[in-house]
Amino acid sequence: MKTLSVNKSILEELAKFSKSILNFDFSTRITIDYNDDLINEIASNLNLLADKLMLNPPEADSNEKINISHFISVISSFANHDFSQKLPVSEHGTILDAIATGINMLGDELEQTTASKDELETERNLLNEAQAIAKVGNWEFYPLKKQLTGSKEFFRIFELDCVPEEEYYDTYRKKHPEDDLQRLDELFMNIFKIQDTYTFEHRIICNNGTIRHLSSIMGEVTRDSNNMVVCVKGTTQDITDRKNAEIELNNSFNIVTEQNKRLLNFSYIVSHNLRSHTSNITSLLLLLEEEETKEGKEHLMNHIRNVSNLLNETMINLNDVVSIQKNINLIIESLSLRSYVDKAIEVLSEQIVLKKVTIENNVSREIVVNYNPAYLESIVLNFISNAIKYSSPERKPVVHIDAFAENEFTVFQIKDNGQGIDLKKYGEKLFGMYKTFHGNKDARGIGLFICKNQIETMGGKIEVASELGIGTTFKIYIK
Amino acid sequence: MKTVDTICVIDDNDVYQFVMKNSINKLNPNIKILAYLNGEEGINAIKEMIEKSQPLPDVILLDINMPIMDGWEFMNEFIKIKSQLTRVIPIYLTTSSLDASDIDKAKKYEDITGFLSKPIDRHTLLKIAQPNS
Repeated sequence: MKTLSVNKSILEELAKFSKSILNFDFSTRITIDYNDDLINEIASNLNLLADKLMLNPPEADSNEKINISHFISVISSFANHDFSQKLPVSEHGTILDAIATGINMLGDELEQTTASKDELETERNLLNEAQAIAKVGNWEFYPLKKQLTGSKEFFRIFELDCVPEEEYYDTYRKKHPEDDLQRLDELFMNIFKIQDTYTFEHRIICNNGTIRHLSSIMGEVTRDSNNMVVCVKGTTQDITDRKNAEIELNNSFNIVTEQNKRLLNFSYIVSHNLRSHTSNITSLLLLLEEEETKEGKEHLMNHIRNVSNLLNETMINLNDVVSIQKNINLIIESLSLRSYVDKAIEVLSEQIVLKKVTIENNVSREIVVNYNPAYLESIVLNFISNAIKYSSPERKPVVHIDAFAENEFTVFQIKDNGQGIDLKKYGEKLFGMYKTFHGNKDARGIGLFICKNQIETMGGKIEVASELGIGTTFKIYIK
Repeated sequence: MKTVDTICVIDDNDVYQFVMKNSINKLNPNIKILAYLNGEEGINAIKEMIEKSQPLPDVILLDINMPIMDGWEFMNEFIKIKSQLTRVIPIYLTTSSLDASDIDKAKKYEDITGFLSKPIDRHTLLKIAQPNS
């Protein structure tokens, strides 16, 4: 479609003519940014003018006649079509006829332009809407000039709307976290190698600090005669919702896997421990049956009693574990962490004095956690008790107890200068059931296992750092 | 007929150690029993025997679940010193729960002679003590 290049001077000429013949004066409304309404108005008035000229031809000697040839040239340039060429200028009527036709054509064309402009506008709106719904923006990148431009949605995704245009690329880059930025720069550096479309995922940090996940496609590449990439066109889609759903799905998958593993581990332990006790009882009874001396019988009976006690203890432990695993509706209360630490230190005071342990309790009295009271008591007691139990005889035992905020968690930290654990060797087993590491006679291998389960049940996690002969730090994350 | 002179029992369960000592004693009071409470104690003792050229045990009964060094870790250490042995020592894994994953794992160790389910009955013990009878 032919585009009309309407400029101010032509409009002014037209306005002059319209005023003298038609008494339609729009000269005062001509601005550089003429709008569609004005064009429409001019178009319909030009049509009126054509009708009027047909009905009442101007007198040959009138001013109007003189202006006609000038008007033809104005209309010609306005319509981008030379009417004078086609016209036999001798005959008065024909000229008028031609002018009328010319004006009609011009009017139609003006109307058409407006219509197509409307259409274009509607389409653009639809496109913008579609992009906003799909969260897809399109962009153009000029690598040589390091210039970037894009659609409305692209700017919305990158929050670029209040940035000066020449800074688009720079701002765009800096939105990315460090590792993504490296990949992106590398990609743009190798942009000349791109032959086909190329899809990549990246992330940006929004102004409010949240992460936005994006999937971009590099599409059409324009090259100059030296085969240098002049322009790359592509799209970027905001896939945060999908990504978050994916992450959530992955998390719940991990939880289920973890639970499954725990269950399997649990059944293994049940079968192993219970069977080892029962097999011992079977063997002892067999020996008892064959034993002839009274002392021997008494000795064996003691062993059986011992195993029976152990069996009982195992049952209690297993019961503890089961009660955590099945606890879904736990009572949650707002608890002062400090008071639980104080209580644990009091309970352990005898051992603290006996081992000459210095406890640095730095937990602020202001810290309140939402936790199950029984779990908190068990966790606090277990970790402080472990720090005391596995102190090193080579140095004066010091236990630091701290609490601080980290992201959405309150971290409860117990740091000792005790024997330490070889994490390379035992790391995987550290929180396993019935795993003991120091050869301590009173180690039951159940405390850390239960604590880990309790911590995870409350939506937290546990981290450990340790070095043999230096000490151990446990970090308990409380949600 | 060659009988076994020494049986090495590596197991952290005191009662099991007591039961084994008694049962083997009843079977043949001349059999010497070497008892170790975990893999580390066991492997250190064997290393020492090699060093001092002392007689090695004729059979090793090895528990899987033990603190400090479990049965698998013992096997890994044992493989390292295997070349220094003058003869093959049969190693039996002894466990109270025969877990499928343990059986699979044991297949990777060619030095494991077999599995023994606890409690070990007298007939099985006799076979181990008198392999050629």
